[in-house]
Amino acid sequence: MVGYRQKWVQDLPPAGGFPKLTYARTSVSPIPGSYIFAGVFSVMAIGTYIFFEDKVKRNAREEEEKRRLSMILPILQAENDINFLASPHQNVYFTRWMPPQIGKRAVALIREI
Amino acid sequence: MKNILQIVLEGGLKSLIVIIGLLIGVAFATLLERKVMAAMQKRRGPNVVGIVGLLQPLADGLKLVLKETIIPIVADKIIYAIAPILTFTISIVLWSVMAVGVQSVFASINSGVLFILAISSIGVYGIILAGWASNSKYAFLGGLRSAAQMVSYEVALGLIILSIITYAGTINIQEIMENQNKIWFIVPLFPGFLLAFISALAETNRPPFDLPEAEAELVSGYNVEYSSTGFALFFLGEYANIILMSVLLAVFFLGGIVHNKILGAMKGVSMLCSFIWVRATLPRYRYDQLMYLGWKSLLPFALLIYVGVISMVLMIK
Amino acid sequence: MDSTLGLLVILLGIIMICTLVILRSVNPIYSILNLIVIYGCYAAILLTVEMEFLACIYILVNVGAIAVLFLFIVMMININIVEIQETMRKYNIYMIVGIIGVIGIIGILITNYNIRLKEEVIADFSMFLTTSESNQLTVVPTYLDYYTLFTETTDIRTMGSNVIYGSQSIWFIMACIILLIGMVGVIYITEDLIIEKRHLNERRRQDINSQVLREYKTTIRNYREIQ
Repeated sequence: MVGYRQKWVQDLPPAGGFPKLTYARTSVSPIPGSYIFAGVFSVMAIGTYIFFEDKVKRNAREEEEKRRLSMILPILQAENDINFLASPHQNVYFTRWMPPQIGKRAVALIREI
Repeated sequence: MKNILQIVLEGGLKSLIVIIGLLIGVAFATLLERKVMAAMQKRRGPNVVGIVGLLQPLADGLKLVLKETIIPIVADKIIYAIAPILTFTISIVLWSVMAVGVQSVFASINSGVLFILAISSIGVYGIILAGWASNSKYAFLGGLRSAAQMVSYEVALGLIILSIITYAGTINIQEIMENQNKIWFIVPLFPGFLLAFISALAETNRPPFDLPEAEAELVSGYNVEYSSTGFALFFLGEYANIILMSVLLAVFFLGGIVHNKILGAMKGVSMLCSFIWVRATLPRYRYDQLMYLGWKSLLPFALLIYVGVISMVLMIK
Repeated sequence: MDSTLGLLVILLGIIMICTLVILRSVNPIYSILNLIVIYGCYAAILLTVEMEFLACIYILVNVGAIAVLFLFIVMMININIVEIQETMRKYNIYMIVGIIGVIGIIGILITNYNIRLKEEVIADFSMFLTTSESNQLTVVPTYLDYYTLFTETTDIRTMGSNVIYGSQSIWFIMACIILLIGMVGVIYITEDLIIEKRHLNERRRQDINSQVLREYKTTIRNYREIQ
């Protein structure tokens, strides 16, 4: 054991040890979470405002359209009636309505039976 | 007689167009999934069959169809045969009310959203019956598991859709799209979008809620006993449902798909890609955690959003 | 035959057959599946009278929620088929009466509808016209009433504004209250059971402190020592 010389070098940690591992939880995003929440909520608020402004406008337009249509409705109906009467059609006086059987007529009907 | 022939021909052609388009879409959705996942994991993905692997889905389908059909002896044969057909049929029927253009829609009905909700709730039967008819305890437990999952997440999804209906004031799909001309619903209803996305993942049995695909831990799910064509039908139905869900999310939150067709298709495909993104990223949920998330987190939050939406609408009026 | 009438007869026929199967089938799961078919037929009948909303709601509630729960429960019960077969035997006599009744109902339906159909034909192609003119009538657009077109709305709007939140709102509220009572009542009835179960769970709870403090000397004793 006298003449033994160490020919190899053991793979040891560097002097002063390895640098410390950063295993603690770190924030990946540079923006803090509260800011993100605030941003999302403000965008949502703006979006809601735009949507409802548009919706109110659209409803008003629809209402106006309806009112306008109701004004010219009799004219449209009359035009359609003229066209209909000019064509071969079903008898306009034909109806399945019957007068209610009350009073003398009903009594007469019952007597007939 | 002539009239009836015309009706039959017209309906047949229309439905043929929808079905063929859907099947091609499903085939390439599977390829897209494999390609996107490969890109995320720094792989190539399928690239052998055809140019850059474009014919891979056809080869897969052919392989599935040519395999031997095995019917268990103890199985209830009629229901065993009906279950995959039911799943596939319902996933096709759902597409009949989706408008792909201003005029190009198979059936424009007034209550389209309700129709989709109603028909997709029938889709649970395919899974329950497949599990029961296989007459194997693994398939049965898997079927019950998937059915409970789908039923419980339907509630949260329904509530979010209800809040959209309340904002839009209509249940016609085309009118909901018209309501988003000025601003998409994702902006005023961002939390609702997140909830709807999670619920859609659970509805279609996708990761991280893909308990039927957990072969090693849970012995797969309702489709253990199915092979060849039956399995292929389940597979097709599942992917058709995934495409439908991504298109529905695009319709409800991203401003619809009819005004600009290329942009609309891009919206749908981006939703599909985010489904795949979730699959490549997240680990699987445990079953009790899944139920907890559905009933105790998503449902109260969806109710909160709905209350907020109703109070907004009442305030404006 | 009118196409709607044909559809109606087919649907009613399916409903009758499914009702028979529900009564006859030994396996309760088949009964429930046939019940679902009946729900679907009912929704289709609602669609023929253009009530899309009601049909969708019917499927959503009955097929999507109630029947699924039935199926869940029935699947998980262990069923003794022989016993059911024995109990089914005593219903056989009623079945004959039922079949006669079904045939009668279908007969009444078809004959009545035929009479009404003749009336319709007379009304539509009135006696003032010759056959060639009545053939022309099918091409000419029917009379358009613009006033009805103007006031026309969807069925959901009509239902909401006129029925549920309008004239019949009191019944709607009553139904809600009954539902609430049903839900609260179940909790009240099972309250004792729940409390009992909670106590049981408390007793079963793991007491880590006592487990750790347990020692050989204090727990294991010689039999004679106890004596």
